Amino acid sequence: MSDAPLLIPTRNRPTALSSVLHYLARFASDTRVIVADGSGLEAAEENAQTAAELGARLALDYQHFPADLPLFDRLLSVLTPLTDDLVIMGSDDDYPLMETLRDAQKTLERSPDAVTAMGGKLGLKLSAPNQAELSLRPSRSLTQKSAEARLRSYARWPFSTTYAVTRRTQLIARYTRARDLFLPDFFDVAVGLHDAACGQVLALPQLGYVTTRNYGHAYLRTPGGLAFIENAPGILKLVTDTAADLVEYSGMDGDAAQDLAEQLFRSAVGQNAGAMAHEMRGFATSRDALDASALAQGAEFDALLKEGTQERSAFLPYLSMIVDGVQRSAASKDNANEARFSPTLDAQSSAPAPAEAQGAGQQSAAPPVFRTRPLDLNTLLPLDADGPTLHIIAVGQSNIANHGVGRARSDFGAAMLGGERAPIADPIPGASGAEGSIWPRFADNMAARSDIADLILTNIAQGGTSADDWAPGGPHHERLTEALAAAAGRTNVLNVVVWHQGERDTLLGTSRATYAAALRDIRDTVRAMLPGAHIVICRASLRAAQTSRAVITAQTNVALAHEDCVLGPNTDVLGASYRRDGTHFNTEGLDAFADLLCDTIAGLIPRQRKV
Amino acid sequence: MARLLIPTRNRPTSLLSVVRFLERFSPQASVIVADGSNDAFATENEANMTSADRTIAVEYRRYPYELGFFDRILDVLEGISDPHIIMASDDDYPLLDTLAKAEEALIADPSAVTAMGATVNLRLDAPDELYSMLNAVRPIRQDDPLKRMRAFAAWSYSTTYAVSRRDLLIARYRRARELFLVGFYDFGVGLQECSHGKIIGVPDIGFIATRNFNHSYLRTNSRLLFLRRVEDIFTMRRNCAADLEQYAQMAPVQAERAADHLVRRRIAEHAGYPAPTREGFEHSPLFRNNVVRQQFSVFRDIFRPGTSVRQRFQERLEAIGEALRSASTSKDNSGEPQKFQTLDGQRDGSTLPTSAPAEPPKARTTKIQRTALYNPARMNERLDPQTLTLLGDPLSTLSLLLVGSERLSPPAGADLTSGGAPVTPAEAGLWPRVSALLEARGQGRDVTISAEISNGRLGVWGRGGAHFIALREGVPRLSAEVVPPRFCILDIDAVQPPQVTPQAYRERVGDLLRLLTRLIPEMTFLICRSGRAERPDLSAAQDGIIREHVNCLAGPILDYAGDEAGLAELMTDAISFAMRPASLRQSA
Repeated sequence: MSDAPLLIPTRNRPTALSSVLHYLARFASDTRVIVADGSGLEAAEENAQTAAELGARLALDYQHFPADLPLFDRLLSVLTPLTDDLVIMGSDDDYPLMETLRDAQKTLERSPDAVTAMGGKLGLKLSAPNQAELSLRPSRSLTQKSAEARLRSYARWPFSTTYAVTRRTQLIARYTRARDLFLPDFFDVAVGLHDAACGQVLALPQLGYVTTRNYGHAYLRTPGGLAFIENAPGILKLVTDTAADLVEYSGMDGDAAQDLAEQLFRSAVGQNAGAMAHEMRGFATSRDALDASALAQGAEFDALLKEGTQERSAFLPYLSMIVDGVQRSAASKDNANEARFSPTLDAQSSAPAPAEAQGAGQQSAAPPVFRTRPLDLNTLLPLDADGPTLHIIAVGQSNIANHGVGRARSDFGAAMLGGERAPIADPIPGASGAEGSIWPRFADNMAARSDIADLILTNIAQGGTSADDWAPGGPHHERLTEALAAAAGRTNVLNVVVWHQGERDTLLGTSRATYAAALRDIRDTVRAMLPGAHIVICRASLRAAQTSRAVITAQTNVALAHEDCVLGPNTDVLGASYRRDGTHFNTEGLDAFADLLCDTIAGLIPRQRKV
Repeated sequence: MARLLIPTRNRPTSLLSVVRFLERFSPQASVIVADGSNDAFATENEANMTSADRTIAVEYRRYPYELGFFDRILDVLEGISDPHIIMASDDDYPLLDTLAKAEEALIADPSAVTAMGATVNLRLDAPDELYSMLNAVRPIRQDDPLKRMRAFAAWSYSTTYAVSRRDLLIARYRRARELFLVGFYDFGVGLQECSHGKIIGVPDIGFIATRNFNHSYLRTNSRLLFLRRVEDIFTMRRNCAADLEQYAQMAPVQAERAADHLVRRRIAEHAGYPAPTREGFEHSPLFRNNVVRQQFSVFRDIFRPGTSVRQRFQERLEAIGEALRSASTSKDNSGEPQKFQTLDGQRDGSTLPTSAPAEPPKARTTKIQRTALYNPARMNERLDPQTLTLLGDPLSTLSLLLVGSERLSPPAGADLTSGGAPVTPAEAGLWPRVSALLEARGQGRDVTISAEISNGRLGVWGRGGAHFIALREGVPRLSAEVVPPRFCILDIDAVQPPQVTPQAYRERVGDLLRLLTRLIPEMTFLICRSGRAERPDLSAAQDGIIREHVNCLAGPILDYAGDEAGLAELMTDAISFAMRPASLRQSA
């Protein structure tokens, strides 16, 4: 079967169209392109000239239509006489990733029950000359046998099915229906429901399109507020259409179909009112979010934005050209004198717009997009950090200080003393002892296992200290308060106080109540001076092969009793083979304690949702 | 103490129960009953309310059933001089201790217009199917009317069951007489009140409201009624904008824009996206509000036997439970449809002939949204209709699914492959130790275990593998348990043949996680790690799985466990950590 043609409707955006066509000429010159131009005379002339220039580099069929012919009539005029079974829908400011779309075509050819196939979409939005963001708009497969099940699944987390390889007959049905009723805020969802009713929707595990929006172009969209429900009879007509589809394709009876259609559109209305499915509780573990294609598209999105990945190297030439095209389009005379947002096709074609309706600053009611990251237009890397900075304040005695066997060093993070940064290398400054510690091991472990941008370590642990020594009035309390005061006020920092102490109290025979009281006082100090900090209370009492149930119980009880406290590892579990002298850790002990502590603290780091 | 105003219509059994409840628990109460019942029911009500048996002050007023609901209320309110009134209902039970505190606060703060505690709703859907739900009430104390209205719209609640200033109630019902749209009424009322003044929230329960399958209610059959009556939405917008112009001195254009945003919030709520369903709601200031958290705390314990809260409410709950069951089999609202979509329809339905109560509905298989079960902001519970206690209390029963190597040593009988059901560990071994440790920490009383165990190679766990299939077939049975597995302890051994690559390991385990997540979406996985020395690559893959999957947490690193006691310690720590609500586990 021959390659499906790419159909690009355009209207008054000669610069944007030129960018898309040049992009295709460079990256997919074997693509057969049909341009359906509904521009005014001036823009149409420019478009025709671009088409002529590119004629030698691209199989381009440029068709011009009267500017007053509505969009869907124009599309139908092109689609109806075509003989191709499959067509790729495009746009004058959206950039197809043709390798994916060719794969989608092959997949669709093998799947007679499916009507459309697509990859995920990358959305590039230029909201000011130097302000851009990149977002992921995943698609997912709807391969259920029953139309009802497909519609239910689609409506839970709708996605646009326009930028895809689609059966021509489906496109004709779609645009014939849209010709009768077009509501910009409900167009994608109505089309998606219609597609899902007619057949299966296939998603590929990669990105298939880069869609763009910029501050200079005009768009079909309602202007915000309650405008999206102003045409309530129109929405109810879409509901009736969907109910009719359910009756036709799913065999439901009329009342049940109407009831379900209302349910599906109620959700769509909610999403137009600003409530997005992906913001709802439990979404991240829903079957929609765990769809294999959507997961893979998400992984590709992450990789594109991470320096040094193969995906980024391969994608960068495309993205550079696309960003350049969008910047030039935004600054061009594309859509000049048109309203920034038009609620209907009629309003769009009745240019020019009143002065107050023009301009880049006007905001629409566009719903929030799934997974968006601000983009640096020079480096094409995200502007936001990958995660928070983790600040550890280590408090306790020898086994969290520098008394272990085997010095180590990490290239990740920094140890802080007196405001100075130093590498995390044993012995850690600020703590007692001159030998090895858990911290270089911990730093390497955290770098590999969590999404933190940086690690700062303040280690004030002192060998041979008791819990009482750190409590208010104790000889080391001031050391604690100084460290807490220095940590206060930092932004985007996750503060974690790690308490590992107890061996001395085993020797002293401290009672459970006494130990717990001291620990509670220490906790109160932390809470007062560094609100929001987590306090990880490790359980430790093993000294010279002896343990203290009183100490362990007190540590456990305090950790469980307070919201800001977390149970840390119970290092008494690490027996003689992890100790050099029955008390202090050997190399294996330091490794194991670092590993266990990393588990606890990694669990406190907010994780990016992977979809 | 402010008087209670109880409008009633065709529910003599229920009305009498409310009055008797007040007589028993709040003998100082004083009540005005505004009756719009049809003749037969009104005669019965009049006899009941004016009976010499009454031990509280009841002023009974009978109205023609043709008179509109709001006209009836307005007639009462405009004919009295009380500064404050408690709005009540013929099937809702006021807790006057809380409402007295609310009135005190209202008197003390002239900038406030209404004061209330939370409402606990009890809904009897069938004789053996009872649900409870919390309508939490946030104080709204901003000085600026627009800020108050925005705060209210962020998570709206009913402000009806409250102590309110009488002039405010008159303004409320005059407007309601012109505009009443099911699903948007409480919201419009709340906004109007916020425009007039502050709302005081009391950190306790102020009302226990009831609904039952026998009564008829103002409800809509259409999910999209607000689109069918979109003009009412725009009227509400206009009212709201007018309030903003009047009370916030906003210019008309700004007022209209602000009103749009407020009404959009309600549309989103009404369309199925209320604030508590949003991820991270428990981190938000809406929930972190002190008054709200205390109301949730009361709600968490009120249906849990043995708690001090339960003890405080025990007798009142018994009385309400009895009344609810009795109303559900009475002739209240007999002959009327279950739902009226408009007040006019309800009024016309008043004249329908009285008939025997309809056949009670059979229990449905509706489940409570389990995703919310372990959430501090949980608002729904299923109750035993006889005892009004929680069915399958997830806080006292810990259900675990063990999947993986024999190191997990499940009790005999827990194996899914052999069709085993969940079992409670009672003998020696790892799990009794874990159970004892959890109990000592106050983190659960009972542990039940189901398992799928094998020391087989990775392939048996991947898609198409024997144990993958066994889980696919066995786990759906578990998801139907009253308390389905909350945690899955997953231990797929990292010590595998050399040809097993980290990628293969992640893919197989990923398939397994997706399967189990699909079967029990609310389950959290504790991923055990092993092979730190023998297969560091696969062990790192285990760490990677925890990092990549939002529903996976660190299970024990088995290499460090030593003996069974050590493993029990590590396992208990992992479960203890996982039992903390996500809001406390991770930084907001």
